[in-house]
Amino acid sequence: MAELLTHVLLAYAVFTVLGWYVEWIDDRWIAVGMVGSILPELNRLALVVPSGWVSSVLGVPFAWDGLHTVVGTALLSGIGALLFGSSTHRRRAFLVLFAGGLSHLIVDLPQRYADGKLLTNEYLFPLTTWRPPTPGWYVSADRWVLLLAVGVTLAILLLDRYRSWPSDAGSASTGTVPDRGQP
Amino acid sequence: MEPRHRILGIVVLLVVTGGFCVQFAATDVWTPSQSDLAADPVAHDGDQVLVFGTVQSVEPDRDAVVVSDGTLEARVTDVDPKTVSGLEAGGEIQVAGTFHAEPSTIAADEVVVDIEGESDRRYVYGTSILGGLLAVVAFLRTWRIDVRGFRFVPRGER
Repeated sequence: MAELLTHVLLAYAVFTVLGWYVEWIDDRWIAVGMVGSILPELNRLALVVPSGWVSSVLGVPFAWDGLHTVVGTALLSGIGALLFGSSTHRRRAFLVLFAGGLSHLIVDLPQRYADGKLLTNEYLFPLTTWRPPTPGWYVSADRWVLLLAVGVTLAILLLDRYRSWPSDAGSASTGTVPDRGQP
Repeated sequence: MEPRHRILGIVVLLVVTGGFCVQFAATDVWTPSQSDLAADPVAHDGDQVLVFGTVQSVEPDRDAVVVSDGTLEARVTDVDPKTVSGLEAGGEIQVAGTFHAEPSTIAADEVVVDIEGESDRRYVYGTSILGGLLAVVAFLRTWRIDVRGFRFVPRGER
């Protein structure tokens, strides 16, 4: 896993760009997408309640890592979506939470693994055991990953401001119209 | 959809999610898995393995490391001292190599250091907590919690 700050910043960047093309993706839904990018990391509940404890209480095998998968993320997105009141909000919440969660898994994918292969057998469980080679770009403690994420986010933030300038300028000039009329 | 229907839906999905985590644990995603190795080391003597573990100790010459994941403890040999030059007890590594039983040993082909020690761990946890807070703050700035309606409502809307 990359650390969560990288995931949340990249989700912010991705949903901001999506918002340029999809009319309903505004600040509210960008924030929901940021929350979505945390969902797979709920496997860290293991730090609070170890999988072994759950397993001994339930009497069956149990692994929080089931959440760090595409199916686990879809289930968590469904739970999150049911916390919204209207059907439009629920539909959008599911889509955005799930897309945010997928962005997390995609960012985690090209990490370095000792046997040189991706963890697709876990992420895509139970669909496949296929494990193609990993490019091995980083491990979670590599500091440059966050620096890159901050750079990307700032660039998108600037572009986003730049895109909204023409309309801001338009409303600003409208605002000055009455002043112009005065001597 | 009334709140009680949504609550029922959430309960059902929580049960399904729990069931999925059970199925995930019960299925051999890895062959052999680390619990397979711990349960019956002799049966896996000579197997190619990938093991994730917490470093218990680094031997003085830095060519061997003892790792544990809570169930399996193994001594990792044939380690390149350069790879583990900064590694401390408490760090986290992955090892790919050949497993030998009695005592549990892995002759490493490749070692990847995920977390060298305390400072890496502080960095990863610290930035992760910051990331979590950032998402929660962004969310609560644009949505509010309607407790009675059991739902999130966009701020500025009733």
